[in-house]
Amino acid sequence: MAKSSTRPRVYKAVAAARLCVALGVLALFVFAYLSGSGGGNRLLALLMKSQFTSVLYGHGVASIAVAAAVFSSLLAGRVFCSVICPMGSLQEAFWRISRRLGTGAGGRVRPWRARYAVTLAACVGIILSIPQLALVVDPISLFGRGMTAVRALRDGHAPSFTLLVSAPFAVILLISLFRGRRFCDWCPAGISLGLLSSFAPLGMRISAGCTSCGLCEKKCPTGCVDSKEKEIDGRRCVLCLSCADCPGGFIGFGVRGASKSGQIGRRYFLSSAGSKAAALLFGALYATGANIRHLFRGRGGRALRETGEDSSRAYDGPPLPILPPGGRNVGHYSSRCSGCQACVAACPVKILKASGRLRPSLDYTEDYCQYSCVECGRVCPTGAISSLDVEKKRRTRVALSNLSLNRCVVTAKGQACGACAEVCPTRALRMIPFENAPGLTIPAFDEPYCIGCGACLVVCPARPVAFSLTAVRRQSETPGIRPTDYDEGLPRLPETDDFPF
Amino acid sequence: MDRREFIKKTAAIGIGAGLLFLPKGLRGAAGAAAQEYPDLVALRGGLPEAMFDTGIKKIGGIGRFVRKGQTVVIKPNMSWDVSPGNPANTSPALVAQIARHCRDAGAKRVVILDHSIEYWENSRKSSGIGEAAEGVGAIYAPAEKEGYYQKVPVGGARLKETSIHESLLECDVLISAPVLKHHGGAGVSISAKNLMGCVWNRREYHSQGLQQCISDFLRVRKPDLNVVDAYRVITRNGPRGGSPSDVADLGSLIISPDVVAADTAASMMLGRKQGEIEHIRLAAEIGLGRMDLANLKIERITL
Repeated sequence: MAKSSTRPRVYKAVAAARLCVALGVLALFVFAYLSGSGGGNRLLALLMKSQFTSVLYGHGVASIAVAAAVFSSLLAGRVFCSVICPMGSLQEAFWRISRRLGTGAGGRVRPWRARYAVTLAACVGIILSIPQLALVVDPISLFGRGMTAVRALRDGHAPSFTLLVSAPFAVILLISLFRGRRFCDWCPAGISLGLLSSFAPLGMRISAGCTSCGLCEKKCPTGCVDSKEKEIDGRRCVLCLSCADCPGGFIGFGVRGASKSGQIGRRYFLSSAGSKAAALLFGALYATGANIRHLFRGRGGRALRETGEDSSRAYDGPPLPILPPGGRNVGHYSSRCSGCQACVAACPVKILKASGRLRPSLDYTEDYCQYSCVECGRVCPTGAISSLDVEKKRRTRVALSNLSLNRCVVTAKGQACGACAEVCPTRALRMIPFENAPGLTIPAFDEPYCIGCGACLVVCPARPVAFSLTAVRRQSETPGIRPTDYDEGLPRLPETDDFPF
Repeated sequence: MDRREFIKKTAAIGIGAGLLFLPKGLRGAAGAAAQEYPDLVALRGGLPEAMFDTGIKKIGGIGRFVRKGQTVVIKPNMSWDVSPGNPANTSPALVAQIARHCRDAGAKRVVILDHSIEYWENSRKSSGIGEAAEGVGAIYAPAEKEGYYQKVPVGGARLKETSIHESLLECDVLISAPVLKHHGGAGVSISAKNLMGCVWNRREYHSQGLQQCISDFLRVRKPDLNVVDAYRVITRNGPRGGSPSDVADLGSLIISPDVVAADTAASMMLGRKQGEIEHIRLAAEIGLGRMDLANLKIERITL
């Protein structure tokens, strides 16, 4: 009897500790996504390594994050969903607060089987190079888009597009207020790990003597407890231990399968056998989806390489997105980007924005890519944006500028300017004497040195702007800064040891 | 003695003591009219901070410009994410030395201001000015958001109104501390051009006429003191420069309360003729300063 009186207390303490850890991880994620500071970015880079779906997009099957998520699921259930996933913790936090206020309800939930179809479709989509569905339902990507919208609202300029792509995040949180972790039923990562945990020998169980009072059901954030059948769905349980606060002490953590009076229930057996088969299919499929595609498609850039033309130049095709420096080419980038928006959060000048394809691209309407900044590559968990060193980044061409001199304010209005040459970090743009008007200088453009940072476009005062930028099909290396070994008609320095006045 | 009386007497004693012990600057100011200070001091042959020490003494001491309890804004060039080896930014040691003089003169607050062109946090670190300024108790003004700027009427020939940094509205003394350099559009970038870093919308200048707008801005606020860092200068590919061949060692410093005089003298050190640079000439034409250096009292010092 001593055992049954101390165990609930232990469960309570462990439950509280688990909740603290989950909320702590969530708080770190929120801070890292919203901070935008150097320290915040370092933290974000670290945290993103824990998100195994992101790691999988980067083809990192053999990684600690994947091994930990799979191993813990095989052993005891959805530990990843319990403490590591910020999307799960955020729903649970909303639900727990709402329940305190009397608006959130517990109770058993029987999610539609269709959720497996969604995960299957996401997996197949990844393999067939249509990963949009996977990007929409991936938990960390959902969370990232949500945080991007929160930050945009905080900073007071939220483009409707940002709000649109984060609408699913808002809906999920709204539902969570009333019904708890409902997205977790549909989450492909959660479903995969849940199926893996069908094999788990350990988990929550209801022992003999249960009176089906239903208290545990009400306390469960996932809705996985069936007090009438005295069963707990181990594929959805996140081991929060809330149910173990059982007045009779009938619920506990232990060896599973021994439900009710010690016999394996028929229902459990059937679902278990079925899910074990499904687990092999789904779990493995999701875990390797992006990787299978990778095998089939080479590095994704093959089609582009085979065209034979100089793909580092601009081309006359449909407009390509301007990829962040290190994104290489659309093939490489889209085969790895998980849409987590970490780069969007890390960009100090906020020019990386979620595009229609949910993968961020550069938008030069308000600011330009900073010459010595490599933050996006440093936080990217998948390698979609390679982590470049500063020297390499300074030579990486992401786009190509084009100067229309007839629009320039110097030629059009006869005014001095030089804004473009001033900000051009590689001196691809320089000011040369304007022969039509002595004393004025006009920009001259040396294409080989252009890295496509967009500075000229952003600062140009002409309307319409005298510059246009075109994405390159493949990012390439430039010679760096244009050397100056000629006289640009500037006056010589006075040859005097004294002052010239 | 009741409380009110006590406060009155204490205040009176305080003011008396203040007059006795702290009127160095005031005395300097009072004597300024009588004693003929040079209009411009040009120095060479020392480190920027050492030349500033000598030069500011010659021109009447910092106390001539900064009084006790005043707020000072120092406006250096620090827009570029480049290390001090590339003199696109003012020497951090010089900025710190000016700030130190202001603090010693009893300035209540010394603010270092520039609306950085490249991402402010990177420029702040690379220029070394952020660290140097804070080392002497100056404040590095946040200037990266539009909210820090307020719209003011300019009434210039081209620039009718513009948004300037709030610290400029609140300050008693403005010290422009540019580095002398070539500028692809404006010809040169010295003190008047430097003040473009006080406004939010730089593009406005370029679209309305760069040269005219630079001189128009001086109608809003003329610097009380100009300290031109001409120690190492960018002679081409300005204002950012980049390669060592763009840089020349002039080893000089120019100090003047007259922005036009300081800019004229400094531009001549880059080989420009008097009146050649349009924005300097425009400023002189509307009487914001003098470019006829021959008629000014100039002190030339070699350390």
